[in-house]
Amino acid sequence: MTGKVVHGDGMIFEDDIKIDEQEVSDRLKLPEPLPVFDKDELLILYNGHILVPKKGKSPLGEIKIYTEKFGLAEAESPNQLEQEYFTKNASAIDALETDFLERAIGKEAASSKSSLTDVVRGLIGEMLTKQYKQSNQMNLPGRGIIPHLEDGSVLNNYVGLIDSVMVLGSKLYTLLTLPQYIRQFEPGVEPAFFKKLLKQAETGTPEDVYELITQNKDKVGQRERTMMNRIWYSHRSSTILLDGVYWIPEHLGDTSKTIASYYNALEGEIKRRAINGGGHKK
Amino acid sequence: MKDNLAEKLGLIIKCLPALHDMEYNVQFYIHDNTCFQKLVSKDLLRKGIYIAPTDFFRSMVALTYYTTVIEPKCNISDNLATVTRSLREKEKDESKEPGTLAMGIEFIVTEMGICSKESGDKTYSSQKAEIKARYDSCAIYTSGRRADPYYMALGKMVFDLVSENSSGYLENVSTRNDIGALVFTDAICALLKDDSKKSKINEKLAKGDFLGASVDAIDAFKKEVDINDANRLYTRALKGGKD
Repeated sequence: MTGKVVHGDGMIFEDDIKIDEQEVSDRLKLPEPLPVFDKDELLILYNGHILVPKKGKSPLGEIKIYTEKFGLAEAESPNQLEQEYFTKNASAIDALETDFLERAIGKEAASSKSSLTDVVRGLIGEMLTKQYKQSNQMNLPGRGIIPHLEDGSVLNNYVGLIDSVMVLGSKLYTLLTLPQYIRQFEPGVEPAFFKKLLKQAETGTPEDVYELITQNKDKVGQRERTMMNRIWYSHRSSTILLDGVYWIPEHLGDTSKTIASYYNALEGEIKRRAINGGGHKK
Repeated sequence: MKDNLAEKLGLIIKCLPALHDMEYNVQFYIHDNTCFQKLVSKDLLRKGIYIAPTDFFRSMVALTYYTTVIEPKCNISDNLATVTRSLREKEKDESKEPGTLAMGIEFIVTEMGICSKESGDKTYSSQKAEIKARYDSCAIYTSGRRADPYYMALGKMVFDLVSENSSGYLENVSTRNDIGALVFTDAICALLKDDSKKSKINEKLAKGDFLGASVDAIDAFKKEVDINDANRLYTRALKGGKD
């Protein structure tokens, strides 16, 4: 790199190109609604995939809601939904990219293609990498029927803690396997029976687990038995079978924090596209 | 149950604005929580009223209708909370599992009848204008949306809130209060002795006049019910549902 690097006031010089670090990190006003979370139905985000209940059976899994059973089938991928979002909002995103470049490197430089040299791209790219961090992929306890989806989407690359969640309107639930759910109650269960219960939870259905608890009420505290009614209670109980294992949804709160993370991540993507010549136009 | 009815009821539930955002992580499932949020008032849930599981939702939907539309000034929820506490104390005294002793829907409906009787001689028919203003306050907008499978299952749940005699009337419901009025009326009609009154109520239900049917039902029931009925049912609950 030629030119002078000045750290104190956040300005970096390379010949006549000045990169304003403050403007690089500044927020963008994205078109809303964002993709994925605007789907007007229950959805499960699992290992990078989006799954929704559908009539009929599915090899991927099933969901029972009240007395009704549905298959869990794959919907569009996060990448497909994001591409639709970029296409639908092309002119607004175009304007955001132009505005971002003008603020980051100045109007004159932004209007000249030759200003976006590899060095300038690299410097801005480094700033964006620090600001918009990639998420870590989790190892999920499923049977491997649903492998991790590497679709290059912003959602899967940059938004964390969504490897096994359920979204219902504005409500967010984490999905726990039966053994994960039961482990919470270990202190209230007789130790030898707890081992047996855990083993049943690893391979049995929710109804099997419930039957075992019912037959051994004296070995489980009354509070713990009440909590474990979430596993199975009657033919009106809901269940989720996905990737060969049963899951219990636990309410985490609303989707606002997850959507905020996604918004942040999409913002980073638009900025990256701006410095790489407008990705959505391809 | 026909798919298109499940879809219709499910779409109504989906489009209803939530009454609150209370979410139970213990004992109740996601579909229970959605129905609580859409059909049962927060005040009622907070009272911790315990009703037998098979009658729970029907009772809570009927009670919500009664306390928000028909008789908002009554203290029925406090009465039922007191009964719940006394049942719990009896369970402790007799070393029984919590939940062994519970009220059923018959008791709930009888209590609504007693509360209405005690509120005075004025019929609800004569207060129709005020009641209608409360009834009409819950319009919903379904355009552009569809009932996805989750909500079709909730449509089935709503279908199961009424007896077979009343399930045909569900075709004409379109608001929260229509559902509440039908569940309320259906529960009362199961105890109402006057067949001619029941006939007139059913005529109104068939025409989609859920408000009119519910007012006639409570007016008829409050004449028939008396405190001995409530005492008998309370005693039955204390004995674990046996007379």
